[in-house]
Amino acid sequence: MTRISERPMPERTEAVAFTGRAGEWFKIWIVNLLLTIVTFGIYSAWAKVRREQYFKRNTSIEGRAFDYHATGMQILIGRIIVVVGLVAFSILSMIPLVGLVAILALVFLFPWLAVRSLAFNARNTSWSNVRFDFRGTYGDALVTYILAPIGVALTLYTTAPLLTRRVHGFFVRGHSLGNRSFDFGQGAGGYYAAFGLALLWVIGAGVVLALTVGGSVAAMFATLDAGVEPDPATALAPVLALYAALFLGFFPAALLYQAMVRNLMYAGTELEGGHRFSSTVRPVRLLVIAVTNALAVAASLGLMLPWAQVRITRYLAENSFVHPEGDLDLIAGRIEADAGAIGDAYSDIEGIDLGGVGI
Amino acid sequence: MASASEPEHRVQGRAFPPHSAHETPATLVVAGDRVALIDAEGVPLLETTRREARAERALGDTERRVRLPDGATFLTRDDAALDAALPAPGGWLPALERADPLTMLSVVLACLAGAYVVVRWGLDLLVAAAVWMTPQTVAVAMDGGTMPLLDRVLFEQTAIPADRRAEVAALYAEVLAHGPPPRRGTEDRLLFRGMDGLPNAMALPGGTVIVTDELVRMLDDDADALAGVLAHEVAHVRERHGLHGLYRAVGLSVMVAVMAGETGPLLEEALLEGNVLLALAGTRAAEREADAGAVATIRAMGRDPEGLARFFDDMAARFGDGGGWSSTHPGSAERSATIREGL
Repeated sequence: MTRISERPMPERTEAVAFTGRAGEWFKIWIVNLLLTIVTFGIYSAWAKVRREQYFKRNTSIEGRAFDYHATGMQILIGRIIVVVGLVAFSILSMIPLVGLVAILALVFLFPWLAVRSLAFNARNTSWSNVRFDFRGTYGDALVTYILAPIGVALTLYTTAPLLTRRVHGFFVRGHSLGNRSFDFGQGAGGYYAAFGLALLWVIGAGVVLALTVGGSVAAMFATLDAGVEPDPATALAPVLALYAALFLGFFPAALLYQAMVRNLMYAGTELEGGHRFSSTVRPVRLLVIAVTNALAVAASLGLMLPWAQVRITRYLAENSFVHPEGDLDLIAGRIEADAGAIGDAYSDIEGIDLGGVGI
Repeated sequence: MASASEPEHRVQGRAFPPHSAHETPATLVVAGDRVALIDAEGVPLLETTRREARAERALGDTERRVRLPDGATFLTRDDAALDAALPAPGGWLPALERADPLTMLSVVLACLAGAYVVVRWGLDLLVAAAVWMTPQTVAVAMDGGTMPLLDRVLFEQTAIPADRRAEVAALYAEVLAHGPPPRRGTEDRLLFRGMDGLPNAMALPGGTVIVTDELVRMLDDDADALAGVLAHEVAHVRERHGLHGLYRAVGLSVMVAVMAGETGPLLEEALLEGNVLLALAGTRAAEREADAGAVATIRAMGRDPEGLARFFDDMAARFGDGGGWSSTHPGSAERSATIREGL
């Protein structure tokens, strides 16, 4: 059998539409913020519901919108459990021996939390009145989030692209929409190409930094070695160089990588019945959006954040497509809900937000 | 369909039957306690009571939703008709979200003021509460866990002769006797370590104070300065600055995440780095506090605080002023000047 990404796409293309508007979202966001502040953070759980609903209800495929169904109380209870757990853990982890056991326990608890969190989000999300579900197993999560990363470290990160592919497979294959499951199949080549390009960016940034500020950093260390007092400007050089390396090298490279592998994930995803997906995000364009967003938010004391969120969401939606095998209306009519997902949604807690797939 | 006494409300929209993605044009009919959903031909799709039909409040310009039993959903754009038929609870929220520009402006200003108050004082309160709640036995356990690690990566064995160590220990006991009383459970102890020839002293939250060989040698002839340094470290222990720093860094990240929600790529990283800088500002404040505490202790001992100021001058001459926004400590010149101002 050929990989999903290598099979021909169905001819039909449906764009994902995002109808959220910055002005409208700003008003909802600022009210969220005010209520969160005056309730000492408690309202943030309900604010999250409002935010999820605004973005999901404004995202649609051929007029059929997504929706979010969790309640503020569910999220609040989940957060309280997580906070109490973290406080207990941080206190325990400071005591020798007990701390070691606590850390080990957390390592093995983490995959479970990841699965619960993915399931909570999936079961509380619907498209066209039908809920998603997530049925990834603990064992698969343990390999994906704990064992495979150890393997990647042992191979000196040469297998990092394979880990990304594994995370995508775990995420996509675990999901279903109603009684239709998702499948994933994508070659490793694209992931390595994306990783290589991101690496090139880091190397390029390193070379540029070495040519521009490298001299002053070297000067700083030279004066230190000589035991002479450096003047304050040169003393700051290594700190500035570190931040420059992070913000010009690593962070943009990570974002470029995320954009490229997002396209790969969409191309390798299939919904039972031959329905396919595609993403046409351009990495550099996304980077430009992220940089200008960050500058606008910083310059406006955070008040431009709603505008920035709408802008990046719209860009991602505009570059996401569904290729249904046949008429979407007919297909939608044949999807039936899996009643279990709805019942389970009420017993779930919202664990940690892993953002397994990022953007 | 409705009786004469109860007015009948009709809302036009579309509906999804229970657990189905199949959408159909529909009318919601509400009369008294009865709620019914009928399709375009007037065929009833579903009948229920007012209690089982949950109208959701408005959210921006999105379609209003009515949640019906068994996962059926009714959607409509006719706000007014729905509000008349099935009033949604909590209507004040959408009203506030659609407020006039002047009200919105006051909400914005209230948020800016509130965010400032929360980060400026709320964080300190939260950190103080967390520090207060942490039992000192936990802090002592932290010392026990940290020392072996520090010994492995940072320290060597001390080369200070035993008689000189006894002298310093006596000075340390004098500092303890004249400083503020310890919190219950604190295990005060003084350790000597070598550290690559660097003069340094540090305090761990449980009461452990470490002085390096180079520092002891540097202050061989200056008991006032050595007492000042020891009093400074004991002040860190008494004020529980270690725990403050730990909780501050965590608390600020959580606070921003709770208030702002997802900030998006790059900005998230920028915020995290910004928090590190702010946490450093917190440690600079702690250093100033410990300096002030040290001066009070030295005075109580009947010694001269000038010794500590002399020490900072000496450090500035050897290693530069340090300090600034990216540093954990205030500049040495500033510190000695502040101490002398108080004399």
